[in-house]
Amino acid sequence: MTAAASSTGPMHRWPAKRVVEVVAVVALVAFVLWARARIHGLSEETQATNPIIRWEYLFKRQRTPGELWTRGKQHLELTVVPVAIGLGLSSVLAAIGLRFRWLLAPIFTFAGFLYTIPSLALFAVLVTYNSNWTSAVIALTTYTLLIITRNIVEGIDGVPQAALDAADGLGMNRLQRLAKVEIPLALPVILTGVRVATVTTVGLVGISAVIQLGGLAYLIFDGFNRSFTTELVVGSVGMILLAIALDLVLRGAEWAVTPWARRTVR
Amino acid sequence: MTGTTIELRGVTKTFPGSATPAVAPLDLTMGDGEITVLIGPSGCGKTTTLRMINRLTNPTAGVITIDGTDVRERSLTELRRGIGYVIQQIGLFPHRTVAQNIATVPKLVGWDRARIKARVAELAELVGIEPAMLGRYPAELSGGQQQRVGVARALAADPPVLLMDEPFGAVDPIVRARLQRELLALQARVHKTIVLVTHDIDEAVLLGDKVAVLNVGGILEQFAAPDDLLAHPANEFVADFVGHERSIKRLSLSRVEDLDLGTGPVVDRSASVDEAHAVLARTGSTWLGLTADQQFLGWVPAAELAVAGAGLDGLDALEVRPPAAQVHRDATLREALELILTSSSSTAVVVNDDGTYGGTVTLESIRGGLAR
Ligand SMILES: Nc1ncnc2c1ncn2[C@@H]1O[C@H](COP(=O)(O)OP(=O)(O)OP(=O)(O)O)[C@@H](O)[C@H]1O
Ligand SMILES: [Mg+2]
Repeated sequence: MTAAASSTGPMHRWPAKRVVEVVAVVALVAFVLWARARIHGLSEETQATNPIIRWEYLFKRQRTPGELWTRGKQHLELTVVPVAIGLGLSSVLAAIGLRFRWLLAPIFTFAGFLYTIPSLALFAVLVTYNSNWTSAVIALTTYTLLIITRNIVEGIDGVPQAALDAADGLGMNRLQRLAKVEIPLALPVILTGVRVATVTTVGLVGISAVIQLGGLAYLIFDGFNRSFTTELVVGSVGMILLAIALDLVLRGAEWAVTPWARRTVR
Repeated sequence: MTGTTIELRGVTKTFPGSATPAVAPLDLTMGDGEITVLIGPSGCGKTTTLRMINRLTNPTAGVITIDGTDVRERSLTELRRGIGYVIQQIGLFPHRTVAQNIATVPKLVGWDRARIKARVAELAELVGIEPAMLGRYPAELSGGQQQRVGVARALAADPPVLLMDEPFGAVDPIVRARLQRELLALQARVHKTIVLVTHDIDEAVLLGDKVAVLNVGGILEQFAAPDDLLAHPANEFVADFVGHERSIKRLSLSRVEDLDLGTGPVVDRSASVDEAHAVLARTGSTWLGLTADQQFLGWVPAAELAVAGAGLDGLDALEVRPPAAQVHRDATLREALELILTSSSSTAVVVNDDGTYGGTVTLESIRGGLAR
């Protein structure tokens, strides 16, 4: 793995940091919310009888597993669907940019602009015209475009010229060259982009709690509103686990489709 | 085998943003079934010339035809699948195993699996890639091994034309010599039209039926058979390029049978003593060779013949010394010279294919051969 990581540059090490970032942000938010809940509005007495975790909520309460499942599934859907759509759109954007080079800069500027729109503002605008679900998916998709498009372009550009010359020289047509040479060789970088986008989206899904979605993050906000720390902690831990799980799954996929990248002499 | 001749007529390439052409108007005919070698200093346009043949680079002007058909009239993929291409940077696909790399073109043209497998095994053997390596990825091979896979990949679908850009540059001298021999042996069987780029004048001389010496700017300085090139360099540049020891190099190119062998100071054992004296007098030799039934028996010093004098009835009575130097008639002059220099005899006996006596080679006759 070390050879593969060092050979494909800094983009490979980035996502590991991303996971840490998401974990840190979620943990920080949870801590602040929890701390505020402790300081405000709770009497000494309530505090004493209100421990951070009420294990009954997790193990005794009948509705808990069902709720967790529903929220978790929603979180997963709100992550996977935007990333999948984002991958599709990014492929189109990257294809256009690679075909017409002069469009690359405008495409990146556009994707970069979308990336900088505050998510709350975007939800607010979208919700006036769309259902909550659609709004969330559109908003979350826009945030994946920059990362994935950039990695597709970088990946394809990174394919060695000699391999392209060989593909042409041996008589592959444009499509065969793309499918048999360019995409397979760009795959590690593209999948890294998808992984970064996925982990980022797991975090962003939380904001959609303002439009009654939010997946596991709903539990965080609900727990905060009701000063119920157990729910808050469960939501936070759930999000972290989901981010780590998806990261691992995608790393596994990367590993599985690039056997050649880790086989070198010595 | 239909003839495949490649013709370049006034082919020019000027890269965008460059003031001078990389390839000046170039006229070349690469003969059917021949190996044409392009040689010249770095940056003289050898690769560019190759790439214009399979249209990886478009000429600025001029026409290239294969079999009389303008390459631009054929579909790009069909044209290229019929032209094996060994690229200078090797260019193996890093994500495909050695076997998959070799199978690239057969797969593109839709061979069935069994046929591809058999072909891959055959080529691996030909270029000296062990079967165990077929499942490896290119990164797991040495540079020389990768280069051999590149050659195998170009040969895979048995194309009538081969473009080879420094195909043996990264392999060690021993393997290179073997691959060169394999190429010549293969060529003797299949007669492809091969255009080969090299930096190595020895390789050019060994492999080329014709050698094109290019100068910077793609200027053709000379286009000739290797022996011509060495014997009559067209100008200072070519002479410089082919280097010193031109005559030594030429020795490898000519064979004993190309010389005027003559019969030498040799008579049949049944000849009379007078005849023997006559031969010695004519050739001025100090040794007399004897044959029987067309086989060479050995040498007798002329002095012994003189001592025996008139008392001798026949040559049979003389003591014969076996020959110190014998060469086959298809040996190179280099081999004959080596033999003469290292043996005690200044005359090497030439043996025909059927073992019969074929004449003699001397330093004089080798010199005469080079002078022609
Ligand atoms: N794609 C390109 N764009 C611009 N200039 C090029 C390009 N390819 C080659 N050249 C130039 O054309 C000239 C001939 O290059 P070419 O690669 O044909 O040389 P070569 O004879 O193969 O050299 P070498 O022996 O080093 O491989 C060089 O001056 C090179 O810089
Ligand atoms: Mg070159």
